Amino acid sequence: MSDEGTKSTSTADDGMKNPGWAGETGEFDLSESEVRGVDYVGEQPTEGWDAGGVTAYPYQRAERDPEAPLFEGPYRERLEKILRRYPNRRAALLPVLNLAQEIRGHLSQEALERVAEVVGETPATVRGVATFYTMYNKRPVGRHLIQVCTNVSCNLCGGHDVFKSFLEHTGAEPGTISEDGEFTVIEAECLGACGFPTVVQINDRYFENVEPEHVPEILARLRASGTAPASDGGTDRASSGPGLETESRWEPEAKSRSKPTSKKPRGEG
Amino acid sequence: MAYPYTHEREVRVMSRGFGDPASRTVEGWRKLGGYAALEKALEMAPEDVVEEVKASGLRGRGGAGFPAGVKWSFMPRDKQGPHYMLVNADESEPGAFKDRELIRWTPHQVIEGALIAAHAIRAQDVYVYIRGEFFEPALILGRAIEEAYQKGLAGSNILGTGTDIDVTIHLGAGAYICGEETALMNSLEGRRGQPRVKPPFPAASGLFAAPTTINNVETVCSVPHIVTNGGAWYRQWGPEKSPGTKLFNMSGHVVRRGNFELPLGFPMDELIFDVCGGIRNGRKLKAVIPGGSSVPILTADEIQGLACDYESVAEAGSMLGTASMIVMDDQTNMVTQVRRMVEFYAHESCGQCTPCREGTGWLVSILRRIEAGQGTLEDVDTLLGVAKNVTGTTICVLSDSSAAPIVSWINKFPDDIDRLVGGRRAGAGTAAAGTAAAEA
Amino acid sequence: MANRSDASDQITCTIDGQEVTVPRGTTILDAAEQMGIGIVHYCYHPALSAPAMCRMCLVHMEGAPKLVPACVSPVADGAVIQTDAPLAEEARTGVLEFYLVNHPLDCPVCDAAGECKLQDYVYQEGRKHGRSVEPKRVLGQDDFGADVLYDGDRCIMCTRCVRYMREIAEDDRLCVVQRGNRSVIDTFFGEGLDGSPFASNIIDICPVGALLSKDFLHKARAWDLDRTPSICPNCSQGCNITLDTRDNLVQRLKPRHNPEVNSYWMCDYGRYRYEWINRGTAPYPYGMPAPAGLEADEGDGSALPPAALPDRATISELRLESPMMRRDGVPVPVGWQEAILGLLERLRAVSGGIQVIGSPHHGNEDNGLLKRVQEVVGGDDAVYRAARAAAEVVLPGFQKLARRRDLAANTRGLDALGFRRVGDDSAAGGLAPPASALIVLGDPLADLPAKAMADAELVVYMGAVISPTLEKADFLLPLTSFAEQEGTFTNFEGRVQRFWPALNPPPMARPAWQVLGVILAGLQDGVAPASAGDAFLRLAELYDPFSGLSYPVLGTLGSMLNEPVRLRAGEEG
Ligand SMILES: Cc1cc2nc3c(=O)[nH]c(=O)nc-3n(C[C@H](O)[C@H](O)[C@H](O)COP(=O)(O)O)c2cc1C
Ligand code: SF4
Ligand code: SF4
Ligand code: SF4
Ligand code: FES
Ligand code: FES
Repeated sequence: MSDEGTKSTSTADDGMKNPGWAGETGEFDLSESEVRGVDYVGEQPTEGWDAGGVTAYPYQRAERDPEAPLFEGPYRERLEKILRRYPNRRAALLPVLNLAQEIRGHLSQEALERVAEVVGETPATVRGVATFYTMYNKRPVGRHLIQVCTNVSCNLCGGHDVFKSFLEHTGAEPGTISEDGEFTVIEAECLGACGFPTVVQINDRYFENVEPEHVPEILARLRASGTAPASDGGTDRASSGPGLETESRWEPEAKSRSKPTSKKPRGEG
Repeated sequence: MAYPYTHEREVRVMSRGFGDPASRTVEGWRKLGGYAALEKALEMAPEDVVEEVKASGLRGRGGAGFPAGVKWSFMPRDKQGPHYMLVNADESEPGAFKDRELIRWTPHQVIEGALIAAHAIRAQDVYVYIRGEFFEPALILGRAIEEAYQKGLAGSNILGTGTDIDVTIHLGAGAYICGEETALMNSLEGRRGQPRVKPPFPAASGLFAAPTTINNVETVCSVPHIVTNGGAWYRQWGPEKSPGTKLFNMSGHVVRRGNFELPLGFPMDELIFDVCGGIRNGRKLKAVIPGGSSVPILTADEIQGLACDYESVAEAGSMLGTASMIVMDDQTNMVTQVRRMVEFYAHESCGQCTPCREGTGWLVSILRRIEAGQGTLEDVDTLLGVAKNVTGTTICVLSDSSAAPIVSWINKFPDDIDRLVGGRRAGAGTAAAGTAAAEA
Repeated sequence: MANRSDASDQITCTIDGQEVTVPRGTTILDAAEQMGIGIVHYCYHPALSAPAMCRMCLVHMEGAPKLVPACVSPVADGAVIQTDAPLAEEARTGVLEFYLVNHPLDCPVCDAAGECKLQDYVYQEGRKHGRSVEPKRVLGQDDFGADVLYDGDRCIMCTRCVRYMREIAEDDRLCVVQRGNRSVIDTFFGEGLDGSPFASNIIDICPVGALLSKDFLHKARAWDLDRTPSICPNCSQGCNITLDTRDNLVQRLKPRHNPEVNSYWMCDYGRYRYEWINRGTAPYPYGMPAPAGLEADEGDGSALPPAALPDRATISELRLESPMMRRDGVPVPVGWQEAILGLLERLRAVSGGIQVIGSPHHGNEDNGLLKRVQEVVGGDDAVYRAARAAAEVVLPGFQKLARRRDLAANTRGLDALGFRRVGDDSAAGGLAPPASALIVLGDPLADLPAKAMADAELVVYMGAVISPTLEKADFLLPLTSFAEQEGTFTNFEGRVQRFWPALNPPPMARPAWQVLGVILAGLQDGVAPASAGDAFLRLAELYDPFSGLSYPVLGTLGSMLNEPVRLRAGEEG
């Protein structure tokens, strides 16, 4: 959580006070970090109870290594926990695909084959399942995957303009990687946060109440979010992941105002 | 704690912890009265819990409004093998954003409700199916589950009563259709999320072919309060057939968007103009979609004095669904919005049924043409004809959903059609056409 | 309602105004079928699970809130079902219209045209004019490997092929990729279907022209084909098939339903080995030294090469065209009468009995009468040779069906008739140069040197094609192949099944049973059998395993050797 990062961008926050939360009319004065807790993305969930299933979350780092070994080290542990939570192996297919995508960033042919081995199904079956779901990237994406909701509630409030603005400022065609390798922008279906339009999902995080004029600022911060360390699968995200840094830059003033949150993330205590 | 918007007419039962991060902990949730219901329920016989929920008249909040207690009573009483309790947190219907709030503000409410439900249907496992995009809510819920395990509120020997119930989160991966209950089961089993043909119904053969009950997050969240205070208490709100409180998800052109917990039967015009502060920028109301994008559109006139409960909205020719209201002002370009909604259904169709697979795509093509000003009157007829053919002919109701906005739009907003295709269909805009539309 | 039918497992319902009584649990589709009411369907296939997804079979059931899919809805006692209710007809017409929204309708170049369920149903129930004016989705073709070509544009997404591969072939190599109207069928990227020994059945069950046989591609129009029921001649399983012919040539083999033998399926090994039928030869290098690779056969027999043969143009040069008799050391063409009379004379003069060599590629009638000739003339050495693959190849989802090790249709029949199997697994060796008289059926004896026949008292060769070894035989008698005549094969488990003539034989060729029957009649002063059925009845009299059987008893599905058959039961009762 670097303070430098926050200072350099603090001025631009005025126009987008509390994005990510419905505070735009000024009636509501909670900062996002107060609301969500700065730790809301928390540490890399390698531990966890088998039943709680924290191990199954796709932990979408901004940058992933498409060559990374699958299911080794801490990932192996998580894989085993995942497999233990279902009465049969096949049921673990989605969580295992999630894990593979978390490690690699997208699901290559080879990754699908490995997953097929793990769950004891044929590669064709796994391909059939993986292609059914939109969140599995079948080809590489940029360092940041930006999904702009253009469905009806957001669209009524300018969702399509936000989408166009992201395209314009990244210079990318929809679904392709921008030239600098940073961004892939796609249109998303309703993200289930329709009360806070326009909703944009960037990697694993929602940005709410986004207006077209916020876009350059968001992109600048994402660009500045540094390079994630090589995939290690296990370390505490608060110290190394880009997600949280982004978050702290996001809320410079709120950060200084915020009282320590009442909820300590498990594992930090 | 000020949730983004609250209103004095709200009855905050389920939403009582909204806005307060403290309610995400066991301690915080207990302060709000949490886990008392679990303690009470585990002492009760499963049938008695079912009876209490039946008495409350609680109806499913996932869209169909089926009485929850009745659904639970379908489960076999003599348990032969595993039973499963599924919590449907796939919330993907455009307009709906209540389950996300419930999970991320009051995860213990979800856990508590799910455990009570599991106890009532004699399930040893709860799976919470959360849509993959809900990373943050899932993480919050995951933490809460771990805390609950640590404090003996979940897992084995819950609260020392000897009851064992495991709670597991399963993340989806981007498919609206996985909200349909049997598609959700397929997805959980590691298959393509395609709805299954019913019968068999889940209570006979659901997840892993075992008896299964599935409820929406909000349904589950209502349960602890009913158990604590009794079914009769719950009936103090709402009309006879739609008792209780409900989260109204307000989006679109209202001044205050967000979730408002109100008694069922609350008048829709007051909801929009009082609770939500009216239409933005001083504009006028044009249309409301009262229950998520898959229900027929209502006009400004139709909502006057309309009570927001399942029966009244149905009488008005639409459905309360998830009470996800999408409000549109008079400057709204309806064809664009309708096209966008139908595109959604075309994109999310699982593709099994021919009418849905081909029909939704076809509807999109026609709408795009009309939107671009290249439509004809015949296209409008074709739209209605296709909409008719995708209705009632498929395995699940996704394809019916795609037709609802189109048919209601064409029939209720003839001026839009006039402007777009430069002509009026015979009989359009008359009372007769309106009735025909309601019947279609 | 309880008194409509008793508590038994039979229930009564009304379909289109007619009452029908069926076992409880019968689907509407099956019940209607029994009454001769066909309900249109795509995704339903009797051998596969029913996903009820094509929505083609919607019918009206009184009291149901919506139309019900007939393929999965069981009839209830007292139910009133109307397949032709206006609502149901409208729905089906609507569904058909949806199929055509993106269908290319390239029937003129589609191999399925004429046997396409899309054509049929649209013709039956479709709209006169489609309303869609949108551009169509174009996907193109994909080579699935093996013999299968996929045309994505024509695919109607019934998923029969996917379910077949999962449930019957148990080789889950096909999947639906993507969802909604972007769905296509595919394998795992380039993996394809190669090496899946029963894959081509998906071509048969595809209701439209989306799965095509590369072998059959643009070879013939469906309506130009003659389809003759037959038995697959390529192994001893005896799969029921049709021989689809045009211009007197077999164009393809298709499985024919027989629940006891092959269900709706057949193996690829058998399916694509039909060229030899057109040439009248044996299916493999018969009597040659083991072809390279046979030992390395991994079990599916695919390593066994089909006989290396001249192309079609030279077939007529190869086939025996008329009976030949050796005169002054030179074979000369003669008429049948002359040949038979000459042969009878020689047979009557045989001193030390005769040796006979039977053929597992000929029917029971042919071999049986050959055996009988031997019994009449004297001699006891009756042998045959047949190739054998290294292992069986079982169809996992229907285990009665396997590509058997014996790569000839009638080995079991020869065993039942008292022939002894000799030679190795490539149908070579095991024969010594004949010392006395010899009658050879079919087997070209290609592995014996020509002079091997020098010491024989009499050599008679009956067959379709001539081999160098037998050029010097005393008699060369042109026969029809199994595809050119009527007859029966006995499969590995003793099921006797009929086949019918599909091709016109060369003018002078005759079925072996006829030739041998006349010879027998001559030897015994009796009457020659008038038909294959007649010849078969003689077998039934002469050989215990066949007793009680006759063509009417065999019917179209065959009957087990020496089963207590219906005719007898009828006589006794
Ligand atoms: C296409 C489709 C999508 C659905 N999506 C959801 C959903 O996202 N969340 C949900 O709770 N129910 C959804 N449902 C309803 C469920 O099938 C099911 O009725 C509900 O989860 C039952 O819970 P309840 O009785 O508590 O309402 C959907 C239904 C259909 C047909
Ligand atoms: S109606 Fe559509 S989404 Fe539902 S099962 Fe059929 S194809 Fe799938
Ligand atoms: S599949 Fe049938 S309808 Fe389609 S092109 Fe071929 S013959 Fe014509
Ligand atoms: S290829 Fe043929 S069998 Fe397979 S889904 Fe398509 S139409 Fe059906
Ligand atoms: S419409 Fe954008 S989040 Fe629902
Ligand atoms: S045959 Fe009944 S739905 Fe396909």
